Amino acid sequence: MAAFYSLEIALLTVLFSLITGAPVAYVLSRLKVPGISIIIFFILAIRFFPGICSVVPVVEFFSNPVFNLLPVVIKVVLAHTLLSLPYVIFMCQGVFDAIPVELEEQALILKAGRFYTFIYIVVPIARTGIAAAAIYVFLLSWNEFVFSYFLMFQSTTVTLPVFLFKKIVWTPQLNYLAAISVCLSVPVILFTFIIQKQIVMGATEGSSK
Amino acid sequence: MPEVKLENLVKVYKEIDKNTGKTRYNAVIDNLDMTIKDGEFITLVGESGCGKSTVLRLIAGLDEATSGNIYIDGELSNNLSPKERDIGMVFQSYALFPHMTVEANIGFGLKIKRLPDKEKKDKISRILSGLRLENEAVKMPSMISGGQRQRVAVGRAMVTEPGILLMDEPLSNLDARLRSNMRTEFKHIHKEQQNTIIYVTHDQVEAMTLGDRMAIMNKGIIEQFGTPEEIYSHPANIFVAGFIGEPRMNFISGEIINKKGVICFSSTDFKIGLFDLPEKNIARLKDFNRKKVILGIRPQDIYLHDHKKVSLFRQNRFKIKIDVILPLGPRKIIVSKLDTPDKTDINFHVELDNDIICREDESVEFGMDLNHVHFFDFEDKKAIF
Repeated sequence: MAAFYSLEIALLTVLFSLITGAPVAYVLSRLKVPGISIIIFFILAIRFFPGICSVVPVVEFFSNPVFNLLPVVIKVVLAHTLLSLPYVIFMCQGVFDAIPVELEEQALILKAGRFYTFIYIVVPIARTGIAAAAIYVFLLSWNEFVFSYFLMFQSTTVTLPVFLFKKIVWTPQLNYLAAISVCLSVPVILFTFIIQKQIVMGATEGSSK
Repeated sequence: MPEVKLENLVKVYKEIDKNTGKTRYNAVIDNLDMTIKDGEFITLVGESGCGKSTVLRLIAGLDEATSGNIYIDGELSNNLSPKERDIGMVFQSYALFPHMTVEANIGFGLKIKRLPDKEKKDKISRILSGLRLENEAVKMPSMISGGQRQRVAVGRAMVTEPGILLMDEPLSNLDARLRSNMRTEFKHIHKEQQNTIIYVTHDQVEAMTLGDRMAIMNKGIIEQFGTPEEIYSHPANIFVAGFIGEPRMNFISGEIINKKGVICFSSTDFKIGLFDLPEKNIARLKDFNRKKVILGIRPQDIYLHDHKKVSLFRQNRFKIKIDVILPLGPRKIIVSKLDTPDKTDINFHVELDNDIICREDESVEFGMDLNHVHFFDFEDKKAIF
């Protein structure tokens, strides 16, 4: 049960952070404005503190009565998205930087809109890099313990790492724990294999010269 | 088909000096005026960094001009986005979409236009067969050769039938033979479609063979704009004269001396009398008595003395020592060292038929064809005639 819960959270986190992070990375990559590095610095800043420190404001924020109706899954997903966004933005920006601007200019001349160009030209070419970011985010969310633990303190259903922790505290039965560990590893390996296929295909080869 | 008019166009880039940290303003295009007639094939030629690609980008609407106006078809187009201009463009790098098949690449513009499927298919297949790409239709750009990629890029720009076709050094990544094939192809395309083509290149041969008119650019300004013949036989200044022609025109600096009505040109290496010049040219040279001028003569307009045309050259002989000989097959180029004005390029070139016998390190007497001699003012480097 906890495993499915974890999987759900991890996949949703991948979805959320890519949908929000990739466009941000694209804008950062294409916009030529002085001081853009400062923006990037602040985006990465959340990672400069130990996770346990940033838990305090996040838990405080979500304990606001406004969010009472929000399912705990969404709260955890949002917290994980917050943690993974810097990675997504940083990785995707590198990928977008490597795509020649000429491809977009060509699309523009062929009368395609900006959004159309992003969805049908940029994203397909960047899919390998985006897939790498997706793996990273998936692993991050799947492993994440601190935020999940605090946010799901009163919840009956918990993610796998938290579940493991609870078992360790109450009944330290070695074979049982080993089984959970295997459960924790298997999806990671599977997910990597599925997405790796995307990475192997040489994406931008042949676009120019 | 539309006419393109550029009026006082200026493009300035701001750059930050890495050493001093000060911002500098660099005018890439400096007050450029140009009118490209409808249906004309124009080539823009110049060394890299002369602003020729920037002109193209401004016409396409990819960059915004600092000041000045762009009129397309009589309509002020400064603030129109590329989407709103009737243009197609071929980039130097081809910019093919790597994740789409050849067919999808060519059909991209039609897909945006939301044409009915049948019409779309018809147009794509017509382009594919026109460019001999039928067998490549379902391949990815990474699977086809450079020449084929180049044709796909051209096809993609043409399929939407734009009024203006912009090409940014489209042939520079191809080998010599493919390049000459593609040149013929471009001429065909222009003949059939009659669209206005603006073609940027750094290759003077390409510019001369393709263009109805050509513009020579240097440091953001147009040095001369005219038909290839005009530019070849009447270069407006030293830059144009030196840029067009291979090997480049020989320049010799010297003085005009008017001795009892006889005009002579005298330099450190030789002195020649200018008898056979047309009357009006002689009159112009008389204003330059005792002034420094630069004589320009193309390597093709110099002949070996005592050879065929000997009677043409009476007083315009000069003697130089042959340094090296470069055989070209039907012709050969003779190089010797002279005192030329810019001191950096002191090689003097003469192009002769291959059957003329001469040896290296030999002093030979040459004569120049005075009908094809050019004179330039030493001060402003402009052509006297």
